[in-house]
This record gives sequence, structure tokens and C-alpha cells, in this order.
Amino acid sequence: MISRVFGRYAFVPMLLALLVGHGCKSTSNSGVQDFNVGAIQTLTLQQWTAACQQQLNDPKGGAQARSDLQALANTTDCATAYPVLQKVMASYTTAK
Amino acid sequence: MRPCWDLPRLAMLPVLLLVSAPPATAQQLTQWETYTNGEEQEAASAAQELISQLRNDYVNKGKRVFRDAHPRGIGCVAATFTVNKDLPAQFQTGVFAQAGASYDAIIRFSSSLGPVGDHTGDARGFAIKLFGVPGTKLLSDQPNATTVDFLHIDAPFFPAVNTHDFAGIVKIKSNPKSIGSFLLENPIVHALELKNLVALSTANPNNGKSLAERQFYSQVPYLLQGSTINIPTKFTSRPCSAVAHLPLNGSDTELRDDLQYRLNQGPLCYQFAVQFYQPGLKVEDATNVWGENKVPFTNFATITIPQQNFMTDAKLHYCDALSFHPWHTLAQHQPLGNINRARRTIYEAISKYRHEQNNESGLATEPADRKAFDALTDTTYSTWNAVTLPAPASR
Repeated sequence: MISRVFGRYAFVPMLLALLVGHGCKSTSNSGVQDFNVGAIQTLTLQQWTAACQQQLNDPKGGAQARSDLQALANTTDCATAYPVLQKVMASYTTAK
Repeated sequence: MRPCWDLPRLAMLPVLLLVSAPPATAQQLTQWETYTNGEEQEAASAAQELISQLRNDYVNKGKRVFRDAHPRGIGCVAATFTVNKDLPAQFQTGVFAQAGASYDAIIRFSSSLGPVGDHTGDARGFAIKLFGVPGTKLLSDQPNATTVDFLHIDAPFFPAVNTHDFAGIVKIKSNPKSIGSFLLENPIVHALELKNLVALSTANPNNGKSLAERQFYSQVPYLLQGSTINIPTKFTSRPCSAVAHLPLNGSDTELRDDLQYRLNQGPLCYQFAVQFYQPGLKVEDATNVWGENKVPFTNFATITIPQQNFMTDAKLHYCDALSFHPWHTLAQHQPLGNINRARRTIYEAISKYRHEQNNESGLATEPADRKAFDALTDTTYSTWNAVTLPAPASR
């Protein structure tokens, strides 16, 4: 959309951000909730369940979220899905 | 803290300028596509991140730069792609315009992960490059190219829903800590996407099978447009008939060895077939599988891979220098969906970068025909047996 309105010059600030932002400061994601994780072990059951439940309770997207959770873990209960998430993460780490 | 304006960073400037150019297609969406605000920036950011990873993985270690995706070529084979003589008239458009027409082709078999051995569980690629296809091509800097590419892997889905999520996954590799914020941004869908990645790699049901046994899929949709047809499609290449399973030898080159063994015995055959969009199927969600039981494939063409020796240093080198790109195509087969739109940006940037780093910029031009590949008759096979290779001496 930006490009439609302003053309290619709108990308100059982004270019500068890419140039300056990469490697010139710490890698923390300010503004995004971040966790001290190298793997899923630090994404606690409580954190996962709260975030997951919030999606299930969304009036607009709740039905799709339940369908997706079913596809992920064959359940519609966030806490029950947590061990599946742990297994996925362990496999993902191995795969990478 | 590193200095900001070090030489490697300045050297990236042309690449950044390239990947920051908005793709022309953002304003040319079809009726099945939906533009997402910021998708060009997401693609440009992913390209920049991937190039940074290539610099760390290869350039800084004095190695030859492979692709970011499907880096390790299992091999390229010469093939013939023949449009079925009985293809119904309404489907006769683009490369299928003439029933019975035959094209020279090169097919690149590949592994998706970094340069690891064939025995590692992974998605395998099947990229077809047709030669001698007339008509203006969609890549604006190669309108007169005579090639058309069809890219497949051995699974019917892309792991990420969209460019935004793909960019998030790319970041995890260089910054594993970002996995926490990635998951919490959209927990259920992002967990599913990581599950998809596992399903493509360590849990890939094709692991242990020969490439000759596998069915390959386009993952994402492409247009089929002609005088009487205009519809999103997905395509597949599947064995023409059941192929005998033979145990793989367990080496780093087991898939290459198996393919060469089979091609010593005789030709291989795949059917190229197409699925047609139906209401309810998704074009912008790249994880959406168009189930074969509900959306059957229609045979369009036959791919024949004749008996040959492809396992030579010269052919593997030539194969690695080729670029396979979903936008190497005609308007009649326009790539659809945001992942394909992102690939336009990312693939061009990666191809340019790796060819420059390998001192092979001259090889970035699309070949006009298959003659140069067919002329590679030196049977030496030693250097390219390795999964990584040294950088060119003059880098």
C-alpha cells in the first residue's frame, strides 16, 4: 500500500532501518513480548494456555482457532495441547 | 557492538535496493487474490535476512554459496515434457497450447534444508525448466527468455500461511530467541506452521523412498488462463506407474546414487497433472491443501527422463548455477497468492547474491536451450560428491 501511494521512495526509510537496525544494536524485540527462550521449555504451560485461550475466546476467529487447534493437537483444550506443542518444538529444533 | 558501516554492510546496499523495489504484481491481483498491507516489506525483510544468513553460513566460512532454499542439488537430469495428445481443447493454453508438443527440459532434484546429506529427513524438490517456450515472460528483466519453470516439492502444502509468517520463521534461524515472540503473536497458527515444517522434514512420509517413487506438488496455486478458461490451479508430477522400492544405501548421496542407478537401468516417467480451483479452496493461505479426493488431478503432460549419466562434477556444477523461479513463466500460468508474490522478490535477490559471490554472474542469464548441459560429457565425479564446496579462489 505504501508503494502504491508514495512510490518506490517510500522504501528509503525502510532501507535505512534495515541498514542501521541490523547488527547495530541488541537483538531484543522491543514492543514485542519476548521470552528468554532457546527452546519451548521456557514457554510455560501458563503462558501458552493464556495466549491460546485468548484466541479461542475471540468472537471473530474463535471457531477457526478451535479448528486449527484440533489440527495441531487433536483437541480443543489449550492445556491438553501443550505436550503436543513441546513435542513439535523438540522435533523442530532437531530438524533445523 | 559492531560498527554499523562496515564493508560487508555497504556491500549489501545494492542488494537491499533490489529487494526493496516493490514488485509490479502488487497492483495486478487477480480476483482470487487479496493484497495484504506491508507484504512487499515483509518479503524484502525476509530476503535481507536470508542473504545475511547466506553470508554467515557460506561467505564468512569461505564456502561456495548455495541457495537459501533447496540449497543442495541432488542432481539435474535431461528430460522431455510432452503435452498429452488428448488434452481437451479448453486447457490448451500457455505451454499446453499445442496438444502433442514436446519441450526439452532440465529437472533439478534437491534437498530443502541446508547442505546436509541425502539420508537426512527433509523435503525434496523437483523443479522443471522447459526450453523453447515462445511468448513474453513475466519477469520484467527477462521478457524474452524462452524458459518456463514449474517448481514442486514432495508435499502438497507450504509450511507458512503467508509472507508475514514465513518472514517470522526465517528470523528464528538467525535468532532462536524469536521463537517465543513468534509463537505468542499467533500461537495456534504459528505452532501449526512449525508442525508443518516438521512434517516436511523429519516426519516427511517420503523419507527413505526413492525420488522415482515420490509425487511432487506445486504447493501454491498458479493461474491457467486461455480463451475459454481462467482459473487457479495447482499442479503435480507423479510417477506414471508404480515404481519398485529399493533400499537406499544410507550414504550422504543415497538419493543421488539411487536415481543414477535407476537411470542406468532405463528411463523414468512422471505425469504432469493439474487440479482446478473450487469455491472454498484458498489461494492466499499457502498451507491450504486441495485434497486430491475432492479435487482430482487431470493429466496434462508426460515427463520422460531418459537413460543417462547425470552424476558428474560438470553437470552438478551447471545445475547449481541455474536459477529456478516461479515467475519464469507466461502470463497464462501466473503465480498466485502472497507467497508467490514474495518469492518474486526473494528469489531474484538470492539468485543475484549467490551468483555474484560465486563469481558466476554470467551464469545468471537464462539459457536459451539445453545444448550447453547436453554437451557436458566429462564423467569426472569427485569434487561435487561433497555436501559443501570451497569458495571461488578470487572471491
